[in-house]
Amino acid sequence: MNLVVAVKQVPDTEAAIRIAPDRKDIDRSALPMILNPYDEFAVEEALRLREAHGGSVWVVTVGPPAAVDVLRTAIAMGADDALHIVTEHSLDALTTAALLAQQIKTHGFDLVLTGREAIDDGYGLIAPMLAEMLEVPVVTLVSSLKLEDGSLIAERDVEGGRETLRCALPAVVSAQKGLNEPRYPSLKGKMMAKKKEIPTVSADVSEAKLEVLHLGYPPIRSGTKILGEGIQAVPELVRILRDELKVI
Amino acid sequence: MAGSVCVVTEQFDGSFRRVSYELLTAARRLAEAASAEVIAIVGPKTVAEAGATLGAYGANKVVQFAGAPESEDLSQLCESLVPVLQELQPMCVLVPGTVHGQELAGRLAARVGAAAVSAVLDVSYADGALTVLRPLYGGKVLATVAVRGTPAIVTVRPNTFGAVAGGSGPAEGVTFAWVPPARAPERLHFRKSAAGRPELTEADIIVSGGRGVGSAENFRVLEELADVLGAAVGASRAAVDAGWRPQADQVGQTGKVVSPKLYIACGISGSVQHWAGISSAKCIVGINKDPQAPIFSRADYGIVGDLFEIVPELTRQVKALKGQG
Repeated sequence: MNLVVAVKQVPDTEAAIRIAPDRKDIDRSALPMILNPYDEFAVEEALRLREAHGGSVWVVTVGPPAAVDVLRTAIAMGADDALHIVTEHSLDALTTAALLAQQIKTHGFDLVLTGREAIDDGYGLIAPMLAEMLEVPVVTLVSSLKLEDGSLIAERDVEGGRETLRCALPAVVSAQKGLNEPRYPSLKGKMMAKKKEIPTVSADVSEAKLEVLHLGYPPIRSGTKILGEGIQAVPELVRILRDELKVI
Repeated sequence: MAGSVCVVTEQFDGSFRRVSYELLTAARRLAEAASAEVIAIVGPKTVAEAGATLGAYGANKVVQFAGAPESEDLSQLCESLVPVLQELQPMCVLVPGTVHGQELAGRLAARVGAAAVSAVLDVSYADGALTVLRPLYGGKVLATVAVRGTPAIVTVRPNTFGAVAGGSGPAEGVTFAWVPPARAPERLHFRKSAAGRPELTEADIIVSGGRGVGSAENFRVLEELADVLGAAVGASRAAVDAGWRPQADQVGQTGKVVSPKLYIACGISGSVQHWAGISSAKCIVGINKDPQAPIFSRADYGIVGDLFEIVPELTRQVKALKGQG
């Protein structure tokens, strides 16, 4: 199987995010960066599919020079090869998807996997955009996946229930937490990943469709009012639910 | 003048999801600012009284598709929408930020080469430009973003905007031909969630449990409170990873982002990742044994103590108030 995984480098969820002085971007100096957690599920699933069905796992990212680290992480986990599409600044979902689609078309694929969303910009649109550009079906938010006779059978939670879907390969899927438990890179894997030659291509980006006017911090809540300890505090909470929130 | 604002409506179990009315309410505001009209899209499944129902929330026209299947799955709408957008040239298309809605938005944006933004908290129109407010980095930062070109495809999570009726009477019906999806996966099976409790992303009230709940069985205490309040039951990552609740119930950065009026966090410490899922809740109440838990620095109200005493007492008092006690 020709398995392709689209991944992204994002700030660690624990990282404190500071807005840069120009208020157009965040301060990216000394920001701890990680492989997007949802993309870890996608890499793991690709490795498992390769173990079960043979083939290769090719990982691709769009990002600044430092984003090569997430490709090395995926190779350390067990991916065969990688490609880095180098850009200088963050892009909107459509531009990113177009850059990925162009390279994936050239490389060829049976199945493209990516995370449900990147936790930095949270678009959650790359998988369906990629599918449309590659002219194949898509199943987003997959939390169970198996292959049968050249088709994939996927399960996912949707509002109001759980779907089981079948679609023919080639296809695109996006991974949801619960799909698997991503493995840790082995020491041998890490050594290999360090030495791996990772090809780069520079992105040719035309005018962006989105312009960040400014960034701000969300309004700070006014602080917690402690209503008391134990069941003595319950009547006051009930009063708030009834009189202030009007939910009773 | 931009001619129109399109709203893609979504149905579930034979009626419109509330998010459809929320989007129409937002579209009305946009349309006023841009002197445009509001066009609601219904489908695939056609609805006989759509003109009256959606007109009550401000739709001027309602588009339906002749020959469409009886499916409520929005992701099948992409191919049929292309000619609609070509003909109407809307300034923007508002799409429910549901699983099927997100899939539709991404495919449609790629199909027509339009800018797409998801999970917006606000959307406005001024001086010929559409501007959205959306969270970044799990809600640690809010970005004000100008969207260039038309149509802008914008997804909005349920419960982001209120649904306020207001319109000039029944909407005019417009029919387009159904274009079958070229590449839709086949749905083999759908297991409906157990009835009775609202969907997490649509709920006005959520009672949520974390590590402090201690076991799957103990969630019953939270379920009892949820049932008297008409609430959904959520869980923190710790409770899901421990196997006490299904993944579908997880609230937070790697779960669902919710925006209820009231979020009651029971035995949840309140990590940044959990906060990413609840920061747009209007009121957050923390119940936790540990007075030092981070939830008590960010919630609106807190009660320090044993949730197994406090939650049943709260259930009892709410029941008494509702005359069910």
